[in-house]
Amino acid sequence: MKPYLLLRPMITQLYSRQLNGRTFHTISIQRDFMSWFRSKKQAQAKVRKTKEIIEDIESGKELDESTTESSSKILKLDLTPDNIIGTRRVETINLDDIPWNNWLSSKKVKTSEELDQVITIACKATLGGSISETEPFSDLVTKFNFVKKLQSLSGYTIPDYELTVSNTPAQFKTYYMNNIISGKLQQFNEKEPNAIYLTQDSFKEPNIRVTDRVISKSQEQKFNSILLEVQALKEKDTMNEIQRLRSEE
Amino acid sequence: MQSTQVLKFVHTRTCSKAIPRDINVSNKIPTILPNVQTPPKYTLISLKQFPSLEPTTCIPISTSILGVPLRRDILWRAVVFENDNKRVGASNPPGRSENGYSRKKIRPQKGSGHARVGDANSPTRHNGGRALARNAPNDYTTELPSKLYSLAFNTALSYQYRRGNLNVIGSDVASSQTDQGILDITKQNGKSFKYHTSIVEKFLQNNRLEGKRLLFITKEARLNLMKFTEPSQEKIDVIQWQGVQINDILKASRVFIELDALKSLSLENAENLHLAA
Repeated sequence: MKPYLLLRPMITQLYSRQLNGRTFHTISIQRDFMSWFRSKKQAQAKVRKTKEIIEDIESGKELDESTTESSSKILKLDLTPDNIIGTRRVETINLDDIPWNNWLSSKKVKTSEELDQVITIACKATLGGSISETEPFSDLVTKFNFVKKLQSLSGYTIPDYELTVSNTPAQFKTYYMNNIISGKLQQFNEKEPNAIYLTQDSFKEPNIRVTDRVISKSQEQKFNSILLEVQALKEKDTMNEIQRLRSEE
Repeated sequence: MQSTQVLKFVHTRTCSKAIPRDINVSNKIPTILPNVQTPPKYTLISLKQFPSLEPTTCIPISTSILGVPLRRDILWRAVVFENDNKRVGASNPPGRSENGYSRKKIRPQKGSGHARVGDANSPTRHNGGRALARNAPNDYTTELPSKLYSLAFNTALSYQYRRGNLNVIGSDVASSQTDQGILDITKQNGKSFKYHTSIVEKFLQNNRLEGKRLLFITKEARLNLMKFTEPSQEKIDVIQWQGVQINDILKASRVFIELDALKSLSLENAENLHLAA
C-alpha cells in the first residue's frame, strides 16, 4: 500500500480507485502491430522434417495424410458458381420495422406561428385554457406536464436546466425562439461550441459586407453537382469525337 | 468617495426594475445589495426511459451536485491527476554507463584543433546516452486532495447538465413495451444479434447521436448493453459507476446515467466534501 494511503484513513473508495488505476473499461484491447505476425505464425501447419518422413517410409510405417499434406496439395475449389452450394444470407433489418416509442412529433416546428399554436395547445391540455402565458406554473407537476407536452408537439427536446430556470410558458417560448426558430441549434457545431456566426444584420455600416455562411453539406452538394456536369460534358465530347472519327473512316 | 455615493453606485449596478422607485424619491439610503437572494438549493432533472428517452417525471437534485459553477482550474487539476496516475512508466532509456560505446576518449585533450570531447556515451552527443536515465517502473503518480477531486467530479457533471448533455435514466413507469427504466437492452427470444444492434442504431438515429461520443454509466453490469453496442464501441463507452473518471465525463458528447448510479456517485462525493447526503 502506498504510504499516503496509510496517512489518510479517511480516504474514500472512489478516490483510492483513481489512485490505484481502474480495473475495467469496455474499450477493447488494442493489439500491437506485431501480434498479427505472431498470430500468422501460430496458424502455420506444422511440417515434419524430411529425415523423419524418410525414416518412416524405410521402416514401412503408414504415413499420416494430415502430416504429409503440403500446402500445394490442399484441394482448392475455384470460385465458380458450380462449386458454391447455396447463397450467403445477409440479414438486413429495416429500422422502421423496429417497434419504437415515438413520443416526439416527427413534424418539427419551424415558424413562430407554428410555435404559438403548439404552446396554445399545450397550455389548453395541461393548464386549462384560462391561464395566460405569462402566469407562473402553480406547481412542478403542472410545469413538467406542460414541458413534456410542448416537447412532444414541437418535436424538439428541452434541456433539464431550462426546465429548472423557466417558470412561465412565455419563457419557454423565448427559449424556442432564441435557440430553435432562430436557427442557432441547427448551426451549432459540437467541435466549435463557442463559435460566433456573424450576419449582415449585425452591422449597419455601409463598408462592412458579410457573406452568408454556407453549410458544408450544401457546399458538398454543389461541388458534386458541378463534378457531375463536367463528367457529362466530357462524356458528350468523347462520344462526339468517336462519332466524328467513325464518319471519317 | 462618500459612503452615500458608493451606496448609489451599488444600487444602480444591482437593482432591477422590481425595486420600488420610492427609495430614491424619498432620499432614503437603500440597503446594501437590496436584490440579494439566497442561491437555489435544488435543480430539476427529468427521469427518462431508455431507449426512447421519453421523460416520465422530474425530481429535484441538490445544487451541490448538479449546480456547481464551472471552475476550469479545478477540472484541470483533476484531469492532470487522473492522467498522471494512468501512466505506466515503462521506459528504460540507457544512461552513459549503459549506452554501449567504448569509454575511450575520442580525441586527445589538446592539439587536434577541435573542441575537447570525452567518450561517445556522453549525453551531449546526438547518439550518446540519456542524461538522468531511469529504469522502469517509473512512478509518475501525483496527489490531489480527495475533497478537490470530488468537487471536480460534481463540476464536470454540472457542466454537462447545464449544456443539456446529461440524461438521467430511471423511470418506474414504462409507457411502452420497448422502454425500460434502466440502461439496458432486453434480449428478445428468437431475435438475432443484428436485430438487437439495430435497436442501438435506431436509438442513435432518432436522437441524432451518430458519430458522437457517448458515455453510459450504469449501476450494475449490463452485459446485453455492452454486447449490443459492440459494433459502435469506438464511440460508445459503457462503464459501471465505480469506474467512471472525470476525463470520461468531459470527453463525452452525451452522458446517459442511471438514477441509482447518480445516487451512488453523489453519496461518495458528498462524503468527501463533508456534505449532508
